[in-house]
Amino acid sequence: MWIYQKTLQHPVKVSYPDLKFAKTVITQYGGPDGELGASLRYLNQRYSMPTGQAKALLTDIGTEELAHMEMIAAIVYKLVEGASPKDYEDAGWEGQYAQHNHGLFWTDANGVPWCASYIACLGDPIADLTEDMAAEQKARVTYEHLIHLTDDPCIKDTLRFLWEREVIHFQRFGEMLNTVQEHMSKTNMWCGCGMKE
Amino acid sequence: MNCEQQMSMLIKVQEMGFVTLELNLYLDTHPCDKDALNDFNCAVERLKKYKQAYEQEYGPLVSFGMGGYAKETWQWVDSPWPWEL
Amino acid sequence: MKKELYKTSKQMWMPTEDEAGMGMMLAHSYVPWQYYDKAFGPQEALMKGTLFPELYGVYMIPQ
Repeated sequence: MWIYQKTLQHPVKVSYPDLKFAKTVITQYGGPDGELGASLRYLNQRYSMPTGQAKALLTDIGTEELAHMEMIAAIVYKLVEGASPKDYEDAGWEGQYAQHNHGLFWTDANGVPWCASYIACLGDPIADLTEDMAAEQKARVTYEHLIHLTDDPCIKDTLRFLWEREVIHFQRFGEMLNTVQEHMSKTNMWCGCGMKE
Repeated sequence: MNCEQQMSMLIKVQEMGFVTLELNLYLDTHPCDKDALNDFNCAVERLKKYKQAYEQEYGPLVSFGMGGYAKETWQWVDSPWPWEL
Repeated sequence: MKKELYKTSKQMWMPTEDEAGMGMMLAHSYVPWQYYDKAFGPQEALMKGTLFPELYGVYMIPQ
């Protein structure tokens, strides 16, 4: 089960309101390579992993991604604080105001709502861990794009933190793939049936 | 507004909490690494102290009884919440 | 239940001959193992997003 800790993982500061960037950064909240997808992907895949180590890693990284989702929410919250309906209109984000006021919602940068098709779980540890590694690379690249799209040094710092986390996660999933592949070849479990430690 | 002091105490919790999290992930893939295990335990010790100091001033960091006893008031509902700080 | 021998980071990085295991297989992907040597201090670690200097700068830091 989950316990919530009443702190962000890393501080979030914004230098000035910026609805245009809020509309863009929200892709890491509810977009195809964002933190919600990452979290649900890992927390769901852990049920079909063959070893305690893999179940632990997917649980832990999946949980950390929820904390990252919270950080993106905090960025958006601060970027839109005090904005008027006219500010939303000027930023080309009046649809967001119409449907959510200052509330948050899971969409990508074009307003497309989050979809479970962004994630997969084939129940095959090699396929699933490979997908996880691809997901981390895509998230890393998306953070690079977002860092290029803002001039706010405070936001850049926060996004760079999140960017580096993707690199670490890629390394960990890679190491887990090494281990799981060795485990599966030793136990001769090619089809994935009846996997036990 | 006590924000400055609250943030300076909270950052200690965030920093040490990050160390333990990083080592936790490392240990998930390197469960036999003795050095990492020892450093994890050292970091946990320091994290406990920073959390205690913060919670003494600003209330509990976790709920559902995982943060220990409540004081005279139910501080869990107090602001600011993390996205407001 | 396998009996796990606790090792130092360096020993983990350089496996002995009989621990060499399966080696690499075709049509499988692998990532080099990281081993824990030095660490950033807590303040620098949180700022940079990792505890491990060897994992910082492997990709060009975006500006």
